Amino acid sequence: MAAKMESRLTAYGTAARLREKAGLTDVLAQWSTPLSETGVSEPRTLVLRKHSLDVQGPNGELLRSIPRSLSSGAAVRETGGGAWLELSLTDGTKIRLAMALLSGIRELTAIAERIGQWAKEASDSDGESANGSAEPASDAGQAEAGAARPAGRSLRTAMSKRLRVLSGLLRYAAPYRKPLMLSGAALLIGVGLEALPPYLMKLMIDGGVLGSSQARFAGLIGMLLAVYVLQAAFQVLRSSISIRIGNRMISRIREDMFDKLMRLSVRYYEHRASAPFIGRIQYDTSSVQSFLSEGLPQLLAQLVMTGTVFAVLLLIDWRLTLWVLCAVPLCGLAAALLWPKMRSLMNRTWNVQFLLQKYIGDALQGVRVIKAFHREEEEKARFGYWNESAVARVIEQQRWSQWLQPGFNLAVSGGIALVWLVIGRQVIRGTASLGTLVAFTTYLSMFIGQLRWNLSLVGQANTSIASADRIFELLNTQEELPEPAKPVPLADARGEIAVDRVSFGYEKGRSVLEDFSLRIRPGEKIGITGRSGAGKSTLLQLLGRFYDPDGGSIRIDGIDLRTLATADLRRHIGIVFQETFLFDGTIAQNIAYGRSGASPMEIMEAARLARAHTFIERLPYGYDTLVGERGVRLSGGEKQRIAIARALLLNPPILLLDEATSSVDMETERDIQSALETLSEGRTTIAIAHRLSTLRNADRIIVLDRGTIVESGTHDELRARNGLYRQLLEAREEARELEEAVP
Amino acid sequence: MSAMSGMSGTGERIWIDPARIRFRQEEGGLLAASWDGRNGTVAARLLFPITHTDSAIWIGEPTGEEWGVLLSLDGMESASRAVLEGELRLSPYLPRIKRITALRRQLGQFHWEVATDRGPFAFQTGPLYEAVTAMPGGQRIVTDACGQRFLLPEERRMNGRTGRRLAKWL
Repeated sequence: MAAKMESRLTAYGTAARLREKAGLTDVLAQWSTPLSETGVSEPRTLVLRKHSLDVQGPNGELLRSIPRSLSSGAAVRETGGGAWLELSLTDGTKIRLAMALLSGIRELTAIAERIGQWAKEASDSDGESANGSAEPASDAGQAEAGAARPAGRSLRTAMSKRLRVLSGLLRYAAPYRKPLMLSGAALLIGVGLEALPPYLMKLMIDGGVLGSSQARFAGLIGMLLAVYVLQAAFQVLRSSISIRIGNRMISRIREDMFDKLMRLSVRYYEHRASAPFIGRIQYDTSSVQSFLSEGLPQLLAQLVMTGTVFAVLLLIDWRLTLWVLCAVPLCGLAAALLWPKMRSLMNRTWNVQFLLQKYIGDALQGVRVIKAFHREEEEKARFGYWNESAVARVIEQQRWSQWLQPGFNLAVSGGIALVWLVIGRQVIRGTASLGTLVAFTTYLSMFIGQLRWNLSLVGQANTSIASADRIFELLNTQEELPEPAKPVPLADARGEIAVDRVSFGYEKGRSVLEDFSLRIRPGEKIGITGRSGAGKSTLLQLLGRFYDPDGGSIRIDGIDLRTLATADLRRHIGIVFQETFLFDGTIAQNIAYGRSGASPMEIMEAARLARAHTFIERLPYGYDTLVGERGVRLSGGEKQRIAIARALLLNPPILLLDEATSSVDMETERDIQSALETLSEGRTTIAIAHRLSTLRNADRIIVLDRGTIVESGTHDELRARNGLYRQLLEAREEARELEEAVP
Repeated sequence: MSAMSGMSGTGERIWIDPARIRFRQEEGGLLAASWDGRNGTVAARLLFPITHTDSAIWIGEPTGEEWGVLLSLDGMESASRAVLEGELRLSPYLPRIKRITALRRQLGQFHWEVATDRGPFAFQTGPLYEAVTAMPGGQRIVTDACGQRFLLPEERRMNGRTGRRLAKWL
């Protein structure tokens, strides 16, 4: 039967093509994808026509055509890493039409909805309506394949990015224009002074020592000393300016980096280890700093110096200078050939160092687990592996560098020996003075020395640019939750919440909430329950705007969360997370975290309402007890109560509680429950709980399953029904009985 | 033995005997199976899609209801096996890189051009230390800027030129 239908489909497609050729275009929407229905990298275009759905191949050839009369609906079937568009036919057959990559799933969903509507309209009108109005082809349906696409498309040029990095660094230098200009002036004078001594030596040899003039010789020595003193003075002036400015600039960069880290969304950190960020803030900025404060001024000084010395050399003997100069392009060529290798080695070293940092961060965070499972030796071995890899990469990098310096020295010595040979013979013949020989060789040593310096400074500059690149990569990271340009003010929220057709998934292609809607009245207490993975915590994360929904909207008092300033939103929302995080500091600091100006009285009152005061006040240092990193010195229940006190002190109109009593025993739970009752008075409260007893007093309980609401009502109403809530309740009661039966 | 219990606890795990299940591809391209009196469209996915590509295969209804798990493909009728393997290459969709034709770094961003078992792809990733994740067994996962993943086999399984391109940066 399917084969019969297939032939009908193709025949229909041919007719549609003929109509198109005749100019009778009836395209309603179309969508392109880089993948075939079998997942091969081969473009497909779906053309939704008034009477058929066509699938076209890479060259626009018709591969398949399905009449509207045979179509009954369309669905998106997600597979990890992609999704299919699945068309249902009226006889129950399903057809995989095309496949989308992750980047194209949104467009795929849009076209699937469009096809579904198109098929439904056909069945509603019992076949085809001859008078149906043709809609314009939707441009939005043209899927952009995203970053992963078949090869062949052009890549963006790197120049604009490189310029952005440099202009980014210059932006930080802009506030220090005047001191930088002063430094530049000191640099020029310093270079001029540095170029003088060899010339004075020439004068001393030719006019003082050889000319036997004691007074002239002493005068020249005096001048030489004065030059050295001035040279040192200008160097100190320049260094002091550079060090001050460099450090200030780096402080600004660090502040900007940390500010950016604070603004980036939770999603950004989900797939990233936190430890390497320490490296970025510390080491990358240090690398940029050493370049800005020392390297860059030195590089400029050396460049000016090189130019000056070269000019003097030309003045002394231009022919010989040009001969010597022939060697410079060779050195440049050698450097150009070696540089890509050095760049690659630096990258490889950085990669392993990143992984080493990441490993150390992981191991330290999981130290309890390591000890509990007695895996210290295995972890030491893993550390050893990464450490050895890092050392091997550094050795590899330094092994290459070690050849550069001696090679360059050899070239320099050879050049100087050549000059001694050529000018020495001229001195013997009497066509050149001894002073000229000494001055030329000294200037030549200086010139080649400058080149060598410049080479090493270019290396340093490149390391620093790579660091600056990583810094700006972070600073330029697109924020997923952008602050609105003109945020809508939320003065005093009443606490009305509207979740309207929200869809969301943490990863592309895996929805957690689908077409989810919920209305909450101001001051209403909502309990949310359901099986694990039903989307409960996700809903709270969306309400707190830790993520933005992929589709639909969430509004507070009628204002879309995306149009509110984040600070304004968080001021109105108090959150108690399932996993309580306490900062390294005192209990008082942790309670007052959301309100830095809270008085001791307010902190104590919040602790009292959270039923935390009893245990706090029994501690030897009371509210000034240091809780240690991650709050290790407190029990789960104690930490939970501090978190509740923290939310209480904020006094928000909306309260989100995510399993606030999950980590405590029953007695503590009762205690915390009573604290939560106090906390939720007069506020819109949304509480997630597996322990359904904690939701008993909620005005309404929402039961979630696979991202949708399956039941809603009061505890008694839901208990009376034979639904999921009752199943969960019975399972819970069973577990409790078992718990109590164990002696 | 059509099925056996292999797991205690809250739910009994059903192991499917590879010799007793038949897979076929329906006209529309969907996977269908018949086993133990059941027949119809099924979903199949590897439970270890990177480390064990021919074992631990979940089979169930497209709606998510589990039929059981195939512990291996040994003993499965060859046509069934071919159909199932074809389906597993798509779920999860994880193109396996066979060759890297270009890998360029442009200020922290890496531009990849690769030949995979699913055809050629070009994509962009951030720094390699973030984009390339080592997996047990030496394979690596490359995640592009859109979250799309590609499997990068162990270095010894790739040709010399690809190895050199990779070794330049990784």
